[in-house]
Amino acid sequence: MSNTQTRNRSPARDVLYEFALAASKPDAELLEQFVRRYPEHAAELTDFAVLLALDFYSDSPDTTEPVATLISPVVSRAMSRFENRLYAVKQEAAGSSAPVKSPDNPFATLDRKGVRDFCSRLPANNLFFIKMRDRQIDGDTMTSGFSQHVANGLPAPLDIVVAHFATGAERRASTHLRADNKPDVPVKQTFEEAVRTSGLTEEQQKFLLSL
Amino acid sequence: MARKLTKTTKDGQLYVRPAVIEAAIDHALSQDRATLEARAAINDRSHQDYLSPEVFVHLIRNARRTDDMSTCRALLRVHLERRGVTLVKKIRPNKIFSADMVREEVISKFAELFAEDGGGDNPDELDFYEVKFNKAFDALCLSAIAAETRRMNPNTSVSDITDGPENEDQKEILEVLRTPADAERTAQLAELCEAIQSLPPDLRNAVVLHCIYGHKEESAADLCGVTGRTIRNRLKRAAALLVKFKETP
Repeated sequence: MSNTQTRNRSPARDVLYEFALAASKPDAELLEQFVRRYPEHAAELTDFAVLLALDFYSDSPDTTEPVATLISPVVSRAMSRFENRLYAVKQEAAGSSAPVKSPDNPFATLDRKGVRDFCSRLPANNLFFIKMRDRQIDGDTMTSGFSQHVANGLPAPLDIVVAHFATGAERRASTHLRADNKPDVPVKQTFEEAVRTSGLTEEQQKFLLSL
Repeated sequence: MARKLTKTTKDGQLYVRPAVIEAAIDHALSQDRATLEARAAINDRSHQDYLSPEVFVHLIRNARRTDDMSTCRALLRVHLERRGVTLVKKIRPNKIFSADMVREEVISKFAELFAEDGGGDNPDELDFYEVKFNKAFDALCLSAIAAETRRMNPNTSVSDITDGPENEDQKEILEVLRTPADAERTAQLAELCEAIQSLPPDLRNAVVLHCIYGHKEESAADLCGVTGRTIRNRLKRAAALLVKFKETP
């Protein structure tokens, strides 16, 4: 039964996987078979088959040298997408029952002394720490140097820190809003705005923005 | 023992891993995390402890499904780094779309597949990657390129090219593409591939379907959802652009 469900559903990407796995080289007959079988995906199949043929005949030059440094930030962002998707999937699975814990908050494990130590190392003050802890800063506007510097000061890997900042802003239970029309999603500050508006000294601002 | 795959072919047959992959997975599953992390760091494919991408996928899925998230994250990060290297080779800078952007989209989508594994609309999508990893990853990669190419270039804009008869150079270039495969033609095709990839999608599809796949003009027209006359025009225009490409030093 599950087979039938899978066949009937035939998500476009599944059809492309099937085609790619079945084709050892450009094959007109195979393409026609797939288009007949999945007419709803004919356009995607045709585009895909064309690229597959070009890929098959292309000479891929070896460009292995400069990639290592280029890739890491991209991989960190991909890990962040993984964490966010994982959170969403778990939330969907939980449905309306028990609330799902948001991605691990790497700042939540710090006690008062831990917060003080972290702030003095960063350097930061309480307000800037709260902005980081409550995800009030847009992760996309942070430099990778800053994220790495934060991760170095926390008992958490860089991936978790990046995922934390990439997740929607968090309003803690202790945050009271007086406005009648409370915003559903708090607006995040850019990294530079957060640095400039947290009462940090000129020297601290200069250092954080230089990372 | 490796969990059975559940994805089926279009004929309803269950996909199965090649025996060598199956054995490699069974062996890896018997090892502790420290050993696996040491193996994950080996990049030399000829090394006896090298983890193939199919095994990597299985181990990450297994960790994810058993809620061993620490192992899952550690292996996934290494695996994504390797795929990043592949993508730099696979998606090269071009005039149509941002290679960096598409690479990032592919690698992020691939990472998300592990988060979605075992649930949602397509719980066994990663099965394909345990059978023939490179083919499945190609599919993800090329479908992203196709979508981005269409997005960036929805219509052919070749109004600057006159609609006249083919000249000798244009005929020659189409003939090279139409000639049955042999070693010489494969080399010529490799040379022309870069040029073909830079064509607007509609012209590119006409050339590849007719000349490389060998579809007759009417059959290529059916696949593209246009008339045979349109395909003939597109072939002419594509040939003119390819001649220009060859003339450019």
